[in-house]
Amino acid sequence: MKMYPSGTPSFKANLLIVWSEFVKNMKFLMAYPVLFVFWTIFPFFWFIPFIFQGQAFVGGLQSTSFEQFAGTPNYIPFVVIGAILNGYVLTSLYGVGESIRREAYRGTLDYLLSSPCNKAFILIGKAVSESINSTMYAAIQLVVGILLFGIEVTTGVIMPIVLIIFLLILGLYGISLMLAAVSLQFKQAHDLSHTLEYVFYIFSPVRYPLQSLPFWAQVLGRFLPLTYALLAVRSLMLLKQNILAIYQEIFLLFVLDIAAILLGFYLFNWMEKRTKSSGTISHY
Amino acid sequence: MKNKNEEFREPRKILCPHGLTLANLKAEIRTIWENNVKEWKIELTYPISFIRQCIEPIIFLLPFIIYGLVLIGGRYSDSLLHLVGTDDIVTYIFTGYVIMGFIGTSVWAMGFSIRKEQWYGTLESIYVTPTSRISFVLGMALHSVVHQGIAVFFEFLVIYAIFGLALKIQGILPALVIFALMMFALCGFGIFV
Amino acid sequence: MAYDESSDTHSIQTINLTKSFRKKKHKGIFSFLKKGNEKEKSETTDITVALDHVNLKIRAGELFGLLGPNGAGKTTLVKCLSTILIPDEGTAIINGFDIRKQTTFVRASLGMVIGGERTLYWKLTARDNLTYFASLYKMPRKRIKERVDELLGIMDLLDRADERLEDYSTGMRQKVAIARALLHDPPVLLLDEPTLGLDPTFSRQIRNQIRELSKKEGKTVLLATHYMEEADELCDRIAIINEGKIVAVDTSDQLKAMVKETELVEVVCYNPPQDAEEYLKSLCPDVEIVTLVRGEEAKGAPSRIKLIGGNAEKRIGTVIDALRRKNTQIASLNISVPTLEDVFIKLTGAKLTEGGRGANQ
Repeated sequence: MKMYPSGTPSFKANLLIVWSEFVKNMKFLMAYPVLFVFWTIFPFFWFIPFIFQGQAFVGGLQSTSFEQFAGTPNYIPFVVIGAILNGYVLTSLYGVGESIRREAYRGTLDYLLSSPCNKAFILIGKAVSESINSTMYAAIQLVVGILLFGIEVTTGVIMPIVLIIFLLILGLYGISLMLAAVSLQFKQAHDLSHTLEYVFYIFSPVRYPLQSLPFWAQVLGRFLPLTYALLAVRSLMLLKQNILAIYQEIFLLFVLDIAAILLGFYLFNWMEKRTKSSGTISHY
Repeated sequence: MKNKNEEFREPRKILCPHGLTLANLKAEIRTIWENNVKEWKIELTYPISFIRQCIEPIIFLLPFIIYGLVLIGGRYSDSLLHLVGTDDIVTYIFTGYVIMGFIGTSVWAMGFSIRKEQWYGTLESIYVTPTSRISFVLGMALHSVVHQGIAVFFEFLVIYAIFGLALKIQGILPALVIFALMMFALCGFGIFV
Repeated sequence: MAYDESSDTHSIQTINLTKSFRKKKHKGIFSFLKKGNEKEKSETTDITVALDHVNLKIRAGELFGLLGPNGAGKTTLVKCLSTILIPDEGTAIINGFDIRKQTTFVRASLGMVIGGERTLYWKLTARDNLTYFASLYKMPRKRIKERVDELLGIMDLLDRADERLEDYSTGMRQKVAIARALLHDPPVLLLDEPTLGLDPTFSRQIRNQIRELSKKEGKTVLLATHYMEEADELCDRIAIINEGKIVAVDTSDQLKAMVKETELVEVVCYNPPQDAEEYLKSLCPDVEIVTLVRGEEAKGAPSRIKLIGGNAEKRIGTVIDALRRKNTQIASLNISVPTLEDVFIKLTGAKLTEGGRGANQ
């Protein structure tokens, strides 16, 4: 690994930082194998009540009232897709978003921040490992969804779905970067993560169509990347539309991603300077 | 320096109550109460977290209600009426969610109590005292039950204000008795966890 | 509650106390994919014997030191005595109670300081912490307030009793930890490195308090430490422990006399040869131990060569000539008063300040 005379690390060195951070996080995951099982299985327990609730209230597997809002009477696949994509939100908020606080608890944050590398690459490494974890969980859940809950996947939708998930991860990365930044200064990161989770939970169409919410709630929902990801994926998988029909959702998701990432980096750098001046970096 | 051949002193009498005595029972009950007080004191040093935890049940309840209303296009479900004898989905969901909240709280609080003390760093200091482990865990459970009670109160206010709730007053006392029996069972399960 | 008068009446007695730990090594996140010998090499289980048939007898009112490096087994012994750890073999009797069969009485008989400041609730005040733990010791309610105020006064913390521990210094938190150990006025105290991480002022205060507890209040104190000065200053008797075994038990003077019999010569010098130890050992084969501690000579701190063993004094001439041949500048030469570290080196062959198998074993 070469260092330039000015001290700026090479691109290879930065990639190594990303890789090292990824390996470290994977080792932590391996040290807690029960966590892997938890995050794979428990999302099912979160949406299964909605399925039973639907059957009890509707008396069948389809609802005409639901179709008026969602465009499909099949509420079960609707809810399952929502739960799978919501998993990305949870792992990014509680993974990357709280990663800075966890480093403070462990006592390693001072060393990370005083190292000469660009902190962005450390955070990218964290995001990469969390994204890979989320995708592993999502893949397992999708297979179960196909086998047990009537989800249909054709080969034509796979690439568009991969694109949408990639864009979703970018947007969530920006939001979790903002969360990590705020948690540098304000120590109660867990409360912030929970609050953000509530916002996604209520205002994104995870379990019910966006159109079923009051107007003001719909407007708020349209500022969340998960909303567009869910609208796009459900259009492809449930309404059998092609990618051209969802170009608006993809474009708006992309715009949100750029805004979130730029704001996230700006906020992180600003908060880092602020906490270094106040000397409260490693407090928790 | 002491003489090496000095006689060893006899063991000192221990005044700590133990066994099946009234004094010991009183001491254990006081331990349960003090654990509860300690948890409240620590919790109230994080006021934002406390407020968030009181609001959280409402946040997680609302999607169930909204989802139900969307599914049947209104508040009253014939299918539910055939199944359980009531067609009001809002009241049905609310009562079920309240009970479920206490189940989660009791089991989670008791099961997690040991882990929490490990995280504080105080577990060994507690283990080394003569108080029983069960009293310590029950103290944490008491704190959680009261905490959940406060959250349920706020939940009731919000749901009543938005949707209205059809609850019969004459059913409250029998419900409380059943609730108390449930909490005994949950405590046993929580200790197991 | 009556005690058993027929029981053995040492304040603390360990009988063949043994404890081992299994530690699994993990090499590489994909080690589970390896097969056969490769898998064995990457995933091995070590068995570490933390305590090896430890037999100790500590008299009532004695201030007993347990001296050893990190990883020697001090903390493991303290945890076994306090009933936090169950030993694999053997048992111990504390204040007449068996640690295996009468755990509640053992816990009621002892106060413990282990882990220091991290074992308190930082979000509570000192008063709240002590009040809470007093209830865990089943103290009568009326007595708790009085006792808490008394202890806070002794520790000189009364004026800050209602501030949260997160605002205290490390030394002040350690004082609260000691106060907690004294709440129920136990006859036995187990102190595991109570002055670790404290500045000299606080360390001195804590040592004075420990001395008073033993001498004035007649408590039996087991003090586990790796600071030889602390053990030397405070303890009536000292047990030297290394790799789970008790190597020697006696008073400080008697332990040092073991070394003094065999002589100790110290050469203070600059620019000693790289292989000074082997070089001098080869020239003086009857000297038992030769150790070199290198100083930061760039800052003016000299190196020190110690020769321990038979005829060290008689070999002075040989040593001086040998060092001069290697261009070593000799600053001074003296026959040192042996320290407990020298005792430790003689008995174990290792330095007291060298790391052992790892912390908390």
